[in-house]
This record gives sequence, C-alpha cells and structure tokens, in this order.
Amino acid sequence: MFKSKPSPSPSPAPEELPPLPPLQFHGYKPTTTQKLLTHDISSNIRNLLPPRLQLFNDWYLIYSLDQHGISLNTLYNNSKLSNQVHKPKIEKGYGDQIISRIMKESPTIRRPVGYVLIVKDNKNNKFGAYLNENLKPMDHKRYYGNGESFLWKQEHVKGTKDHRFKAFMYTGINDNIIYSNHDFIAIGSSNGQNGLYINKSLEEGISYRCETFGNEILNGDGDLGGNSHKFGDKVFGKFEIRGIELWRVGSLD
Amino acid sequence: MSLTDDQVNAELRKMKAFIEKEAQEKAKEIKLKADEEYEIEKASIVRSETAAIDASYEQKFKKASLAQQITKSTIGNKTRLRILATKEEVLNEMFESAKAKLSDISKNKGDYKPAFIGLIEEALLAILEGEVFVKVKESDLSLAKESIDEAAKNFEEKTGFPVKINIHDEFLSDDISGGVIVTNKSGKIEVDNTLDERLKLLSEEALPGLRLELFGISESRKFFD
Repeated sequence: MFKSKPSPSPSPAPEELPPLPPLQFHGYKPTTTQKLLTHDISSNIRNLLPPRLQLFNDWYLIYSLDQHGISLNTLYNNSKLSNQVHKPKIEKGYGDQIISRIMKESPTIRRPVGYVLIVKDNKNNKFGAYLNENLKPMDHKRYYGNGESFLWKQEHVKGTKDHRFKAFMYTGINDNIIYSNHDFIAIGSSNGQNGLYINKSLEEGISYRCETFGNEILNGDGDLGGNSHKFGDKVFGKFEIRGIELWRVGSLD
Repeated sequence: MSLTDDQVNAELRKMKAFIEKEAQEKAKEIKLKADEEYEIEKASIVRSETAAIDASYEQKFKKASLAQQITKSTIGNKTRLRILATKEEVLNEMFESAKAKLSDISKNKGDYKPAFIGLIEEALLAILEGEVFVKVKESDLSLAKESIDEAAKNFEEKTGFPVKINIHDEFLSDDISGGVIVTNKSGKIEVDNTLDERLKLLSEEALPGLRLELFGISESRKFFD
C-alpha cells in the first residue's frame, strides 16, 4: 500500500532524476464547470504509474459525465481505441473519402496507454482507479486488465481541509482486475464483492473491501466512514455518483 | 526393424506421461476459467440481489410512512371532531339550564308584569291591526287583564290608531313558561311571543357571540370581514 502526504507540486521521481514537467490536461471545454481532476490527484497517481507512462506529460479527457452526458454506452464508445484517435478532417470530396477509407492501411501497433477513472460522490469524496486497458463491454465472462492497475482514494483529514491520497496496489491474491458489461463496471473482486462497482445508469455505486487490491472502502474515511454500513463482517460503502471522468495517459499518435 | 518389448514399454510410458500432462494442463485451464466465471457470476448475483432487497425495503418504508401519515391525520380529525362535539354539548347544556330558569321569571310578579306588557306591545306592533286576540296561560289570565290596557295605550301612542285587544278563550298549555301568542282577527297571522320561543330565537342569534365569549377566537379561522 502506498500513502503520501498531500503535496502541492509533483514530487521528483526517485533516484534523483530531473523532476518531471507538469502535466497538461487536454479535453476540458471552456464551459465545463465541474472539473474533477486536480494537479494534486494527478501528480499522486502519476508517481504510481509504470515508468514509461510517467514520461507522458499529456492526459486526455475521453469521457466526462459533465461534457458527454450520463451514459454507459457513451463511456464505452469513447473508450474504444478507434474512436480515441484524432481523425484529421478530410476536406476532399465524398468519393475521395470512400477511397481513402478503403485504402486505409491496417491499424498500426500502438504504444500502450493507461486510463485513470475518477468518481466524485454526493459527499464530495473523490476516488477511482488506474486501469491499464480501456473499458469495454465484455461478451464473455472474463476479467481483463493486469497488475499495473490500482484503486485510489482521496480522504479528508479530520479537522482540516487537507486531503490524504491513498492507493491500493494489486496484491496478486487473485487476477480479478476489471470486468465490465452493459450492466455495470466492476473493478477488483473477491467473494462476490467488488472493490469499485458502478451501476448501469452511472448514478449509484458501491465499494467493498476486496482481496484483489486489499483496499479500504473507497468512499469513507478509514474503515468506518460516514457512508459505510456494517453487516456482520461485511463492510461496504454505498454512494451516489455526482461526477465521473475517464482520462487517457499518453498519446496514441 | 523391430522393437523389443522393453522399448515398446518405454515408448508407451512416454506417450502416457505426455497425454497425462496435456490433460492436467487442460484441466487447470478449465478450472481457472470456471473460477473466473464463478467469481463474475457471484459478484453480479450478489449485487443484483442486494439491490433488489434495498428496493423492496425502500418500498416498504414508503408504505409504512404513508400509513403513519394517514393514521396521524385520522387521529387529528377525530380529536378535532371530539372537541367540536364537546363545545356543542356545553352550549346545549347552557341553553337547557336557561330554559329551566324561565319558569322562575313568571313567578316574580314585580319583574314579570313589565316584561309581559312589553311582549304584548311588541306583538301588536308586529301585527299592526285594529283588533287582535291574545292567548295566555290560564295562570296568567288576571295579569293579562291588567296588562292589555297599558299595552293598548302604549301602542296607540306609537302608531296613532287604537287597538282592541281580546283575550282568547283558549289558554296556552301549562308546559310553556310564560308569555303570549297574539293573533289577528281572522287568526291567520300569529305572533308567538312566548318566553320559550324567545329563548329559541336568542339561542340562534346569540350563538356566535357566546362561542367567542366561551372558547375564544377559533384557531382555524383565517378571515374576519
């Protein structure tokens, strides 16, 4: 488990490497009022990414509840690699477009990228996950994603306005990283309990402890936050979703 | 070229080991897949059932709170009705006791006589005719005879024309506390000026004032015009 004190500026990478240049966020519209990603969160997450992704200075917004509307399908569509590639506008005639589409070379092998999911709930808690693969509806009952993925949360420090960032790395106990279909998104799972679960309508979610990441309840302070309920030995936190953002780390071009 | 038995056995063992290993790997693979599928299935069943239980509890809670509200307003209504009924009872009691005291009036001759004259005069003014009949109780007959002249005199002063007052042959029943019933000559117009009748009229006219005096201003009343 990784913990870090709130740090206003990105802390330098280990082994005295020159500090990483600050991140650039791409994709917020000028009219967007609700922005979930802050430099505090992003620098904390960046420190935990695989080194090759830490080198990217640009994060791209591919889905935001505020800008794209509340729809799981839109989220999946925007996450599709083919839809993420910036398509230059072809200013030729209709026929040329058809020909160029037919002549289009086979898709090149892309550099791997990562995705950061941010959820804000009705109690102003922010939490989420880093995923090494794009979210997609699965036809088969198979988990995807690998051990680079992790869950994170930003908890309020009692009595102050500060936040503490906590991340829950992959434990290796099981490989149930990500499963998503047209009914829900589930990240981390053990004994039928998901570390982070978001329902079909993107309105409600729930967080259990799970062995995949050895996490705490994401939407509570400590183990028994204001939102968590206790039923026997099972602790879970229910939340209503106020905002979701999905960011891609790294460029596809 | 032929193989010895030993060689054949060795080959067979190799083949057997190979097949066994393949089978074990396949079994392991199937088990992993099955475990994964089991976990996904379990998680989604747990979620959907939890959601269903939550929904049913929410529904029950809604129903219960609705029932609670209905009960609350029913009780409120009943209480209000009981308060109103009690108030009415109090008023009725008051009028009952007033009626019981009416008979005391006619016993006190000193007070009764001017009232009696007044009652006759009022009835005369209401009828406004030259000849009338007055019905009284048998016990009031002598009093009536004394009173009619004065009443007629007062009437003439006010209206400017004389009136002839006859005492009717029939008497009023003894149940009545006192007072008169005046009819015109033809008997078609009748003015009931008995004490009981006057109390009845009073109970209707004076009721709002009495209510205000006894119970204060009604809390639910919003407009006073």
